[in-house]
Formats: sequence, C-alpha cells, structure tokens
Amino acid sequence: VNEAREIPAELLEQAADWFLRVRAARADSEVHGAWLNWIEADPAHRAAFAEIQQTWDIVGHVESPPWPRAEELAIHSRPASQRVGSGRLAWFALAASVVAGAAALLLTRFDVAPNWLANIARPHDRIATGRGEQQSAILPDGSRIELGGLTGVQLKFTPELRLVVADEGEVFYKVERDPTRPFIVQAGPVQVTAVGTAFSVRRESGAVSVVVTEGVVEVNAASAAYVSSMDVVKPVRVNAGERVRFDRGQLEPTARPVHAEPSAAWRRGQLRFQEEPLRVVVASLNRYTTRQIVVGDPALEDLRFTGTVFDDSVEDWLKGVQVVFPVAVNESDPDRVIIVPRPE
Amino acid sequence: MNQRPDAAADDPDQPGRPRPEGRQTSADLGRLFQEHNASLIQLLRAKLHSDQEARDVAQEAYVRLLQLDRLGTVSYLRSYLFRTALNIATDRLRSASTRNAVHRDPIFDPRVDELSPDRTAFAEDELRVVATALESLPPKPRYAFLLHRFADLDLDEVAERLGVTERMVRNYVMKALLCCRAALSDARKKEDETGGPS
Repeated sequence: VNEAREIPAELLEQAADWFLRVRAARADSEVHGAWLNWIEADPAHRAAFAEIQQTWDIVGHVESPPWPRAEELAIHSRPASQRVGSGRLAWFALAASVVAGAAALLLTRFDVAPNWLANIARPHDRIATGRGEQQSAILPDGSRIELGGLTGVQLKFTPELRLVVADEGEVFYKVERDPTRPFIVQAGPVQVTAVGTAFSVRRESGAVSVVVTEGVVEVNAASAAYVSSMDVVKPVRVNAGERVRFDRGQLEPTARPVHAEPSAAWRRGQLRFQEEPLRVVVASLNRYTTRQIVVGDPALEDLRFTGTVFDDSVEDWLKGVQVVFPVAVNESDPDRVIIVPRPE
Repeated sequence: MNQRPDAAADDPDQPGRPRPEGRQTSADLGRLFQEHNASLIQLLRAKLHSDQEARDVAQEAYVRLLQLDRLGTVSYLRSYLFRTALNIATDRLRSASTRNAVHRDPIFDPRVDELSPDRTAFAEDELRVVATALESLPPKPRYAFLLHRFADLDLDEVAERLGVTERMVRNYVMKALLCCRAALSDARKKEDETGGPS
C-alpha cells in the first residue's frame, strides 16, 4: 500500500480525469476503449486509478457532508431567473441528497403510460381516490384530470361553466380550450380560473398551491383579509412555470417561478415539493402511507422542505428528513410516526 | 495469414483444425477474461456502488458471452465484453439493485459495508480528514462535488444547476477529489510516522 501513496500528482490528476470520464452516463465504448488502453499501459496507472476510487468511496461515507449555505453560493451564483424559489439552493441540495440514487430507479419503475381511457366522467360526478391510489379521468368537455392519493373532486358542469370543487389532496388538470365556458377549480378558499391550460392544485391542511405547466391561470382567494378589506383584490396571474400559494389565510400577491413538471409527477410515484411547509408535505405523504405521520411540535410545521419523495419509500424520507432538519422521528407508537424536535 | 494454427491449437473442440479468420472460441474468451478481468472490474467499480456488485456484473457478462450461440461471429470480442458488462451495470443502476443502493446510501447507512472493527475505527479517522478537506473548499467547487457525489447528478446536470460549463464542473470535481486524496495521504503519512492513530 505504501508505494501507492507516492503517486506523482500528475498521474493522480490523469486518473481522476479518467475516473470522471468513465463514470459519465453517456461515456461510450470509445471512451471505455481509450481508458482500457490507458489503464493497461502501466501498473502505476492502475494504482493511481484505484487510489482515486478509494478516495471516492471514503468521501461517500461522510455522514453530513458540508453543503454550502445558500448565501455562500449566492455570491457568485447563476442568473436569478434560474434560481429555485427564494434561492435556498442549499436546502434543495440537501433534499436532493436525501433521494440520491433513487432518480434512475424512478424512470424505469414508474414511467408507465397512464390509462386515460379508464373513465369518462358525467357532468355531476364525484371522482375520488383511496389512500395510495392514483386515478385519471376524462371530463365531459374532454379535459383531463389526474388525482393523487386520497383526493376527491366534485364536478359541477353547466352549459355556462365548468366548475370543479376540490377536496384536500392534489389534482392535475389539463384543460380543453373553450373561451365561452370558463373552467374553474374551487379549492377551499382559492379559486383558479383557466381557459386552455395545464396546472395542478394541491390543497393540504389549509394551504393551497397552484402550479402552472402550460398557459395561464388566474387565482383568487376569499381570504379573511380580502373579505374585510374594501380594496378590490385583483386576481393573481400565474404563467407557465410559475406557482402561487395560499397559506394562513393569505394569497401571495404575485406568482413565482417554480420548477414545474410537464405533468403530475405523482403519476410516476413521485411526490415533489418545493419550499413547502413540513405540515403540507406530511399531509401529502399521509395520502399514501397507512402509518400516519404527525408533526409533533407546531414549531416544526413551517420548516420548508424541497425535494422528491417516492410514494413507496416514505421510510427513506423519514430517515432523510432527520438529516435535513433538526428533527428526530419517534416510532414507538405502531400506528403513527411522530416528528419531534431533535434533542439538544 | 490464411490460417491461425496457434489459435486453432487453443481450441479444445477442434484440435489442430484451421478456422476461418476472426472466428472466436470459448478459449479465446477465457484468455480475454484473464487479460482484462482486473480492468473490467475496476471500470464497473467506478460505476457501481460496491466491489461485490462489480464482481457480480463482470461474472454475469462472462456467462452471457459464454452462452452466445454464435460467439464465433462476434468480431470484436473485447469491446463486446465491455459493452455487455456496462449494459448490465446500467440496468442494475436503473432497476432493483438501485433500490438496494438507495438503502446502502451512505447518508442513510454510513457504515453498512462489511468493515471489520479495526477498519471501522480507521475509517472514522479518515472520514474526519475528508470532511475537513471538503470544508476547506470554496463553496462552488464544494457544491459541485457534493452534488455529483451525493445527489447522483451527472456532471452536465451539475453544470446546468450551477450555470457554469461542464468543463468547469469537471475541474471543480477533480480538484475536490484530489484535495480529499491529498488530505488522506497526508494523514496516513503522519500516522506512519507516529506509528498509529493518536
């Protein structure tokens, strides 16, 4: 082992460069062939490459890698337009690390064509899913909706209006264009008006978020502040790639850019969150798990979580969340999992 | 050069009989394995999560090649072997074994590898050294490296996220890796001098 420690710096650089090249997903047989020639040309090459591999392995065992803080990155960061949410990149990164490795899995396991033709609804149908279920339906006007777990909508279609009253849960809407007949989603106090567009509405423990993937919608809220105010409240316009949120009785005054999926991610067994309060995340996850998760302390409810959770690996998320947040998970109760502040 | 008596002699099925140019046999395959086995495993190791997994995939590739009915028609046996192995590796990364890999993710299970008690103690030291080395890096290279190492993002994806070129990201990640290696190497030297961990 000793001689391996005396590898010239240049050779190590070469080895590291090769290591990154052959690891790349798109490395082709030309790259691999060239690498093979290199590594077999000299035993010292092989030793250097092994050394880099070993370093890579050891780094992978670091328990809490020192992710930079968002402020540190902001100093020389990319254009603001590309920034996620309010720029809390570090959280995003942490959250991403929690699901590390799972992304590739997802692509093959869940990417099945949805069964559009399963249901064609009638004008006054109620469409609902059970815990952990997903369902898509075609509405009488040809619009398409997809429901996440434990979610329901009541259709109230008239010749003048296409009204959908949504329970809590998450629904993705792909709306057929019809300017003479507005398409409105009523999600608690929030009203979303679409013409021809695609968007999703997540309504969870009092909070509603509207993400637009195509076209434009207008969002209105009958908030307490709105009712008591004499001002005329203008609806918030939400363009493709933006989100607006309603929480604690208030609608955000403007929409913000968000990383919007072309369609509902949960269809592929994925639940995506961007800067969502922990209580919203937990309420969403509870639509998929039989063992309910409870946020055991109000102080934790508004911690912001960004990341992807797989509906069949909520356990992993529970492990990850303890890395990301100063929380611990109490599993002593067999029926529910309680998230509590991490003891000092 | 119409005949290859040496190759034919290696073929137990057809002793002494000349074969058409380019025809491969299981004996050729055996030689190929011996010659490139170490490289193949090293390459697979760089892609996969453990030595065991790399060995399994290499093995599976060999078996697949041996089972080919028309091995003789494969003209570039070496690149075919590597391609087969890498395809198996890619499939593994994408399917069931990725699930295991997630559970073996160091974030969740820091020391799930079959480490002996001694090795574990040593690793603790090394982990501290590496963590310190990472902290010493400027934010952006550190971020790039951690995204690549812990978030499984390819270099081009990291580049996109950081808004810099892929070449820049490669440079960042390389520097970070070399910095960690240098720190480890220093620590080991010190340890050798003092005759063990202090």
